[in-house]
Amino acid sequence: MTIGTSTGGLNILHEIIPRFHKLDSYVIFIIQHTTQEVEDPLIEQLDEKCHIRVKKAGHGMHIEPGNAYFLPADYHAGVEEQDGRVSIRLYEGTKVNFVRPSIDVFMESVAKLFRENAIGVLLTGMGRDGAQGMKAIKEAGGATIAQNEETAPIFRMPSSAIMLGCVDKVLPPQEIFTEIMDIINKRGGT
Amino acid sequence: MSKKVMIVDDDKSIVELVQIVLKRKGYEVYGAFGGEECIKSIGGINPDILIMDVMMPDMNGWEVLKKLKEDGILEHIKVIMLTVVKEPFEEYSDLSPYVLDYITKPCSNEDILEGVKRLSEL
Repeated sequence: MTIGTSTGGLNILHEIIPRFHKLDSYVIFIIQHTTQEVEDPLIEQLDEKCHIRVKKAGHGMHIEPGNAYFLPADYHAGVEEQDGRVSIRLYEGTKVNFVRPSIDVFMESVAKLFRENAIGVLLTGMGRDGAQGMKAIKEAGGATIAQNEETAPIFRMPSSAIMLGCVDKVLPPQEIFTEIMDIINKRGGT
Repeated sequence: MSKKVMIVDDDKSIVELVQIVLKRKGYEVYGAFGGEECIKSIGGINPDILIMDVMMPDMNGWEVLKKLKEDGILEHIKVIMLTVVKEPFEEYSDLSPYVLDYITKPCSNEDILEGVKRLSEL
């Protein structure tokens, strides 16, 4: 699953990610628009607070179910499969929606590879990044969840996806975790 | 070593209140009563954390951040935006990676303290 957020998202990530105690067949990709200067301590802080491991994603890194991967600043990212193993691809390139990594770019890659098994979550943030990515996940048969207006410091990113008609559920952070687990359980995973 | 925090707001009472609250918790706190004053003084202060009001009469908080980015100062600062406006200024989307927290006014001293504490641990 991919959780994308921007301005104001740090607190929300701290509210959602630590709730995951165990993930056997899923991974969490986290995109928080940030800078190289703060990403390492930010990942460490999140990792210390979580039951699952939160790792910084690296180019060519193989994905291991049960972990969370924080996508690094200043690179676009995608997922690819080779010899039955999924790995992360990082690359430079022009910013999309004024940012890099772009949630749209990564979610489109996830939709293409994971199809109906993908889950997209879009939280608070400025701009419209993530809306097209959520649409790609929805069109691939995956599930999509957006943060609700009452709890989002900046509702623009979630609302952009909602306006595209590609969001299954609009929820506060405390219910997003429950919804994700429901989706996973219904699919027969853990 | 205590973390340096700079609070920028055109409302003097807010600047003074935040200074008192954070100083009590051991932070080294500096205030600026507007965007231009912030731009003039920030180089000599080099804060770890910048609390920036958005709506200010001389220039809005996003414009201040844009100038600090152009001057190469923003790279090393963690920013908390403080605003009554919930909807964003979309033209400043490229500044979003620098803004790690976004607090909507009215807010409590605890909201500010919690935000500063979290960023000071990074």
